[in-house]
Amino acid sequence: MRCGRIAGCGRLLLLLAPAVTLVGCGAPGFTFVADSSAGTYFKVPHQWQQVDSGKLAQQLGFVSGATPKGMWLVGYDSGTSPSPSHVLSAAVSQPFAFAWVVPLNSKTSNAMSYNNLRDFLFPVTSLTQQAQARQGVGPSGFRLISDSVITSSQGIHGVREIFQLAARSGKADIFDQIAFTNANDTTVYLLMVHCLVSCYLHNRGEIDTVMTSFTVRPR
Amino acid sequence: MRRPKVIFSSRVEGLTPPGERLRDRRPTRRPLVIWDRLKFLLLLALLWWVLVWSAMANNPLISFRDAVQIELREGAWVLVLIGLEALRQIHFLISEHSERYHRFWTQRVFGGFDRASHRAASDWTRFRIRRVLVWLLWIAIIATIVGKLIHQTPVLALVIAPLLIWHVLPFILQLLFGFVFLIGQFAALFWFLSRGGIDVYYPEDVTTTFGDVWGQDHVLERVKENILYLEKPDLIERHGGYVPGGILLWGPPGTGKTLMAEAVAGETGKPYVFVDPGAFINMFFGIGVLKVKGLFRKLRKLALRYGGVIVFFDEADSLGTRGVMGGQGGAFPRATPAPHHAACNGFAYLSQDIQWALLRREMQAWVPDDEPGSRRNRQIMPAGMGGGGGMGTLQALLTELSGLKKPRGFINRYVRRLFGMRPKPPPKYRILVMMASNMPEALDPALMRPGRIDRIYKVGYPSKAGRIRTYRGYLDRVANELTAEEIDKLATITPYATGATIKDLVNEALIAAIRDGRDVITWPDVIRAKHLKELGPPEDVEYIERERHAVAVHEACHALVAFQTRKHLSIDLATIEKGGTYLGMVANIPPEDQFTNWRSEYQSDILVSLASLAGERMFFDEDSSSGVSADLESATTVASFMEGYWGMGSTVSSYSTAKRLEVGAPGGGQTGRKKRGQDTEAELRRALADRIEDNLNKLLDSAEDIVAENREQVLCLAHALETHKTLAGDDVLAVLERRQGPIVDGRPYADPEFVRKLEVYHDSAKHAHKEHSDVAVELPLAPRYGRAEHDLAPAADPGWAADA
Repeated sequence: MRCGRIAGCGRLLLLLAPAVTLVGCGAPGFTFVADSSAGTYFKVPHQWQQVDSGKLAQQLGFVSGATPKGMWLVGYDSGTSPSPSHVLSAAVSQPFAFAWVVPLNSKTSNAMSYNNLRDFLFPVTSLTQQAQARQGVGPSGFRLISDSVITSSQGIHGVREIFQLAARSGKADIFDQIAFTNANDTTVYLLMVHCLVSCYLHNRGEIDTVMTSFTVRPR
Repeated sequence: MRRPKVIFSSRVEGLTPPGERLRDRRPTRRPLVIWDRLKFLLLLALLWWVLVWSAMANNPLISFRDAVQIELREGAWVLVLIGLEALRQIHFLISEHSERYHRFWTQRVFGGFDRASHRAASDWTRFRIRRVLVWLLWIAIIATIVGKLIHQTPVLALVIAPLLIWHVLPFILQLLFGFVFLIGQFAALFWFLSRGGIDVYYPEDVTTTFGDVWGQDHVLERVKENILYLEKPDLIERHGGYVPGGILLWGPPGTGKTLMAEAVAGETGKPYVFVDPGAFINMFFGIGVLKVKGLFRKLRKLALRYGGVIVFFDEADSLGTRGVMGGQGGAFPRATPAPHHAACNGFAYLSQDIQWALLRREMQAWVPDDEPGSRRNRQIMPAGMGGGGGMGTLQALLTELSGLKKPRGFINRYVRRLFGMRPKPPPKYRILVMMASNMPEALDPALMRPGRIDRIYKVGYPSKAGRIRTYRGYLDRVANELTAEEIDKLATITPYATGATIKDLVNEALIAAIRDGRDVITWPDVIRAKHLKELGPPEDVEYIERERHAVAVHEACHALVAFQTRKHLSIDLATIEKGGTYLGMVANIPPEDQFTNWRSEYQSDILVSLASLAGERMFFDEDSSSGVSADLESATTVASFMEGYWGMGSTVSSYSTAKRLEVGAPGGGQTGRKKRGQDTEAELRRALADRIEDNLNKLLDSAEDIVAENREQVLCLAHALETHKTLAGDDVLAVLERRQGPIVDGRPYADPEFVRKLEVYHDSAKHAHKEHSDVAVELPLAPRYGRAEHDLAPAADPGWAADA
């Protein structure tokens, strides 16, 4: 393109600038979270704050800074005082999102099934619950609300579980969890959001947006 | 401090005087073209759009709107740059329209800063500050980019950078190895290509001595002088002089230049480095330069180890020149020949102004006259890199020749300086550069300047004494029966013989003797070898008999008149053997080394030339052949020069000068101003042509008289030629003096009865010539006499020998 006169190009710039301004008006509504190497993406509302990944790993039983190779975890807390300790506690007043990418060893990979995906973080299936109950470590106040199987492109498949768990205090959280695995079952991609039942019901739309944004496109 | 004067560019031309600043007359900033105004804005906008695209491409969840929103925040630095650039352009725009604004910024702000910085710091300090600022700017840019890449702040990125570099060190080393490998291939290729063409002979390898160089004593003496200084440099250096570094030997091929260089090496006991003329003909640019550098590295090493070295560039003209411009300027060398034909060098003693004037005149005279369609001939092709030594080779050689006195070596030049020590001067390399060329005009003048090639010696054709010595030298190596007189004679009849041709001639004589079943060279062998070398092998063309007789009579007339009138030249040979461009010839040689020619000699030359026409007319009843054309051409040429140039005719003035100055010439033409319609050139030419014709006619009459008086001699010589086809000079004399010659016996021609037979044969041939029929009478056979001095049986197959 050749601008014959300064006015011509100036006009073009004057047209482009407002267009960009209009499109970009306001702050973005979401924070886009990604683990590009694992091809895992989701978004959380912009107000949610990321918690320290090292401490989050400690909460999960990993030694800080010594997470297995290829593992990725990230937590977002929508509360006013974000804390990694909210990740597994059952009485969180504001939604807490937790994403986890776990490469599997060959034994786990060979034994992978939808039930394994369901039980990946909490005992969801009745068989697992009974087995834990026999050992006296099973969760209390478990109630399965929804269970569905999801298939995606590139052989990605998994389950979405919505269930309720009660804490010792008697307060119950609703856990919304998606667990994917890839076509050859070598990696598990997990996203979980939870908060108190009242909170969940209040923020259902927002939580659903987060859960449905969970996308896995392995490279 | 006095402020420099400010002047306006419209009032001055050329350079600004020192201490004055040149101020642009324009009061506002020069308007920018639209591209310059927008290019950075467009570039930054493009960069921002790339960031947006990148955000979208990296995350499938991000929509365009999201990406724009994200990059408005994360890519804000690009937007800041766009804003700054826009601000700059606005500043320029105002400067283009507002004189006051422009003046404020250029003279107050920037001008003030400029003046303040000039006052505060010197040029060198400001340069260093600027350099530091540039470094800091680049560090900041790199820190920002690295920070972006590793998601850290730029300051932290700088701290982490060494660690990052440590991490990527293996990759960097891998890359470096790749580069080294890549470059190494070229280095190896060039190294291999730069080998060869240079041979080193160590002292014990060269056995040639000055005693092996014959016939060039005068040059040898001068070369020995150089050797003296090479061996005892203190003799001259003690007195503040320097050892001459280079010798150029130039002259015709085969005169012993290479031998002389070898002899220098053999005499001094120094290594001898022979540089092949083809060494500098290279496929790739730079190989020649590498070769020269490698050569001189080797020479320096040898010079230090053996206390001196001799390097010999054979056929140095292959080094070429750097083009015509390289040779301009300077004075006439001492031995510049006159641009016009001059027997004595009538050029050297003139003043330089006159030399230039004459040269210009002559150069103008060489330009051909205007002719239709001849314009293309005027095109002069520029002479570029003559010879194969181009591509920087010559320049490298010049640098090396001049650079022998500079400090060398990395440690010497840099490490010593680092510790505050001055580099050590180099040792005195004793390198004698010798060059040989038979085309000295093709050498670059820069090569020949004193300090590089200090001495230029001509190695010309050997003198007679030199030739005798050379003949003796080569003949001593083979069995021969040649007497001292014969060797002297041989040297006389081979005036332009060189060492190489003499060696070849002796070898050819030996071959002739061996073919004849002998192992001892005799005089006839030498003569036959000489004829073979000079005339080449015969063409084996047989004339029809009447034509053979006519050619024989023609050549016999030449030989006879030469014998009768020409004392400054001896007859070398006479032949009716057909060559490439002639039917027969009488060749001459000067018996002595003579450097001037005289009127009587030129007259006899013309007589010899005209003898053929006179003879043909006399012997064939006023008939004559076209075979005299070359004779008349040479006769006319000599007569013209005699009349017009050499003052040997009826007038004295020079025709060329008269023509050039249009002053007319004696005997015709215009003196002074030209009359209307008068062509000075034509007038002059007519007058001159008449005089030349008169002279030639007079000499033709003389030639006719000589031939008429010696009719019998001509017929005898013609018979000898018809019998033997080729006669050596001594055989011609033998026939004319009726005695035994080296090959031909002249005694039968003293017999009146035999001469009468020759007359009968001639009449028969003349009749056949008129009737275009066969010759009725056979060629008479000369009666045989006993051998007088030599056993002169014709060679088994000498080619040109007797067929009768």
